[in-house]
Amino acid sequence: MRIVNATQLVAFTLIGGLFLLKFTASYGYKQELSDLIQQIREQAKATASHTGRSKFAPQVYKAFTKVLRHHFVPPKQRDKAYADRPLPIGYGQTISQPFIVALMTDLLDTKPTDKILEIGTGSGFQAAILSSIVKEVYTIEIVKALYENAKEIFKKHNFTNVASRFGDGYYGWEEHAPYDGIIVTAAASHVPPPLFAQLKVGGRIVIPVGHQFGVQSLKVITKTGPKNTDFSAIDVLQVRFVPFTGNIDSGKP
Amino acid sequence: MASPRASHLLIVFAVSCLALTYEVVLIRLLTISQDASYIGVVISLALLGFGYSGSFLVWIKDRLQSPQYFRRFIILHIIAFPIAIGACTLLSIRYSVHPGELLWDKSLLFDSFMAFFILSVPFFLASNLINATMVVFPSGIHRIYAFDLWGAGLGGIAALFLLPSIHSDLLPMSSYKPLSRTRLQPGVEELVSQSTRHATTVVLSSAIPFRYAPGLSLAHVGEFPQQLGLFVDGSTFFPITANNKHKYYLDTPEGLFYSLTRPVSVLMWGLGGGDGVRLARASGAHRIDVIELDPNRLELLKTVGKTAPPFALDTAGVSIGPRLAVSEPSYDLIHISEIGGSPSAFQVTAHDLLGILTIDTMAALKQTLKSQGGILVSIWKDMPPHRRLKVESLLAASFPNPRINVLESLQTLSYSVLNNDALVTALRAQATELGFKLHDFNAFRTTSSVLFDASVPTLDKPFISGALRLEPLWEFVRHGLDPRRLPVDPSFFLPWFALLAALFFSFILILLPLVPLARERRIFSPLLALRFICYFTALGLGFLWVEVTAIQKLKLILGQGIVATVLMLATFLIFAGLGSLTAKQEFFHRRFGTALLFAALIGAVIAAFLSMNLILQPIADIRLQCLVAVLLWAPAAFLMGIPFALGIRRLAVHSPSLVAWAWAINGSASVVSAILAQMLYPYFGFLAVLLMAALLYGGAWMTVPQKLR
Repeated sequence: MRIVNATQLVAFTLIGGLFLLKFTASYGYKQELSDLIQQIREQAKATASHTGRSKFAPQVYKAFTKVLRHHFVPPKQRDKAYADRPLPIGYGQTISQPFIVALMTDLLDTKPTDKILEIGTGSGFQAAILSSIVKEVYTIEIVKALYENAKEIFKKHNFTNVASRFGDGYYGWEEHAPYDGIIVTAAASHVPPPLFAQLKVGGRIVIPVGHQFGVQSLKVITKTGPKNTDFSAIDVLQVRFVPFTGNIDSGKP
Repeated sequence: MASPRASHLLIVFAVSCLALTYEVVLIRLLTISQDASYIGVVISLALLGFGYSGSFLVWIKDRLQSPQYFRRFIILHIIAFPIAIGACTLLSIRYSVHPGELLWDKSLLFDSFMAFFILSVPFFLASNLINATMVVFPSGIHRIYAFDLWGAGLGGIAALFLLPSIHSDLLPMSSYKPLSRTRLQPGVEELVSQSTRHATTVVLSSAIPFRYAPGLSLAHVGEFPQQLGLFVDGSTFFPITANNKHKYYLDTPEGLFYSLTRPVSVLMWGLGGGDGVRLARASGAHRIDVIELDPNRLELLKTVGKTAPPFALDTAGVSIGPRLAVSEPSYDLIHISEIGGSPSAFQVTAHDLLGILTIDTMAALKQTLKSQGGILVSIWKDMPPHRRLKVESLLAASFPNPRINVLESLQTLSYSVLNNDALVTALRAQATELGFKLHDFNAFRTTSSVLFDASVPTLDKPFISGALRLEPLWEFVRHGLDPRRLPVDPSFFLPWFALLAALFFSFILILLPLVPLARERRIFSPLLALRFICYFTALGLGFLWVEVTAIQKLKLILGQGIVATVLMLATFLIFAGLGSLTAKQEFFHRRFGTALLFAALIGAVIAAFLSMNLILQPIADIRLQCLVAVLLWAPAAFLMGIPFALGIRRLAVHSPSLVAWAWAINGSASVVSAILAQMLYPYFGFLAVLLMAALLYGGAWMTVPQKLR
């Protein structure tokens, strides 16, 4: 007596093969992701003398397991998606080094009820990370193609608490102000006063400030009173938003 | 074949001329198209082509003795050389690597190697032609060498006239350059571009605003005005701000200083995109003198104004020049601003104004200040530490009884010297209103960093350098070459990388020819071989150290990088060529004659160098300075041309088969020397490097092989 017939055997084989394929594929990135998180932990310890934080909040690490970086990098760069390094996304822009994303997220000192504004959506990865640890994320991108690409990713992967807009982030997003925190993910020569004005008292802005084409200092500026000159600032780390253009020379991702 | 014909000498002359023209033009091309810190490395290594030509010819020297083979060899190289220049330049662009990315991705080392290899091919071919002629005509070697040097000297001068035709679109620009990154953004339009022998300048408008306003107060209210971007050589960026009611710059530390002091006459250090002039104008200045190394910048800004009227600069009462034009008290304010360009890793570029600032310059500047006048120096907080140390050391040394205050914004530091207590009180009050902090200079200044210790920049040692500090290297190695743990900027490692690569290749190139030579039993003894290596290595190192020191010193005095480089190159090559012709004199082959030659050489080199400070520095006219510089260095260059020709001539008589090998040794040593010089003179100062070169010449005399004495 046959236990299974030929059709059932083919079906089982197919399903089993697919399951195996999926399991192997997911195991591949999961291992890389686990290595990446370990690297971020080590990097946090190594830079503690500068950042004042030897480890990040548990929700930051958890966000990295929920938000998969390979969804946000161009197909050409997917094999490097879980390397702790920035990657080109076209138009002269990059997806930041995961350690910097984790650090900037941690520096915001968020609460689950917070409303955060991000300037420079880029690939959308930073906004997605924030979306898994705060209530609302608003993000603005000035390069239309990047804005559209990120919006599609947010929709496809159900980041429902992220609202994105195409436009100039210098003047913030006044309709939703004030914010508990603002994160700027592009180098700026100065802290935009209109942006700082949209911050709640007690809120903080995390921003790399310096020469656009040179070294920047990652700063945390806390608003200590109602006026724009009421603030305290700390320099966290010197960063350099190096353009990792790789094979992307045309500006198209 | 006893003596070279005129046609042979003419070919050597033409090839050397083209090789040096190519080298100077290539430096400019790569300055525009590639990362600035990478260029020096590639060029130095490409010159190794001269070295491996010598090694190559050792293997084919016997075949070259056949007239037919030699003729075919020459014709082939005459055809291949110009083709290689074009093809290799274009091909090398494919392998452009940013030093930062090299640290992240070690596999890109291959690309760097390819860039070196490809760029070295034209130099290899040029050297083959010259070297083969020497191998075939050993008795005429001093004449061949002279024509080689004269050709190269003329090539340098010819390059000077070709440079204005080099513009930013001639070669594809590396996508790492700020200009090409900006061009990748949507809505970018080129408004004006200009090429001169000093710089290529491009002005862009962009749909994505530049919004360049370092130091802007958070209290600033209002729209941000439109800006254009001015890019020099694709790297250095300056904003050009539209003239409208939104004068953001009044709400910066510099703006605060201007609005308090209301200077009528201002001396400005660098024109940039003209925003400093706008600030001075908005504060009521009538006379604005600008020290600017690019003589065409003001004309360029006028052209921008015609093309885009909102950006027109009011140039009435504005004058520019490369140096201080007055010596009497004339100014209410001296304003030195570094909040603009991004300096090169190799420190002295044509546009690096801070690079040429020394204690002597500061003294001259102080003389032009009126009794109640003030000084304002602005820098980025996060500029490379050696530059901040330099500014602070200069201020501390120039104002021993300091009235210096430091205004700190979120991004910038503005050092102000005020001789008026009421103004200091007002500055303090208004700084608080704008959210700036005011510090006491002595409590605030730094005196050291990971790489650098403060020292007062002088004409002899104008830089604060950490090029030879080993701690960062050790830290980097200790962390497994992990770029995330870099203690310093990645460009710090480039000269070390270049030096190691050059040493590696030199070692191979010098030792490789020993295989066929040993097989042929043509080396007299290992000791004599070692003496040859030492002699030609010392000459290669010594010549380049003297030359590089003279070039850098003249750059500092003239403030014209490219003119100083070409002038000194041409002087050294042409007069060394003349000197080499005298190498056949019997006098130099006697023990006393050789000793006298080296003693005179060392004396002439030191005298020429010291005269630069004493004679050249006080001369006001730049053309006269150029002429005097040539006259000062001509005798030393003449004498420096003799030892190599002397050595190689005697070598040709004793053992012609070793001529090519000597060429390989000297070529390889020259490359190592050029890289070492770049690390040594910023660290030890010019005089120290020159004395080291003198020691090397002394060493060369001591190692002259006995048979040659």
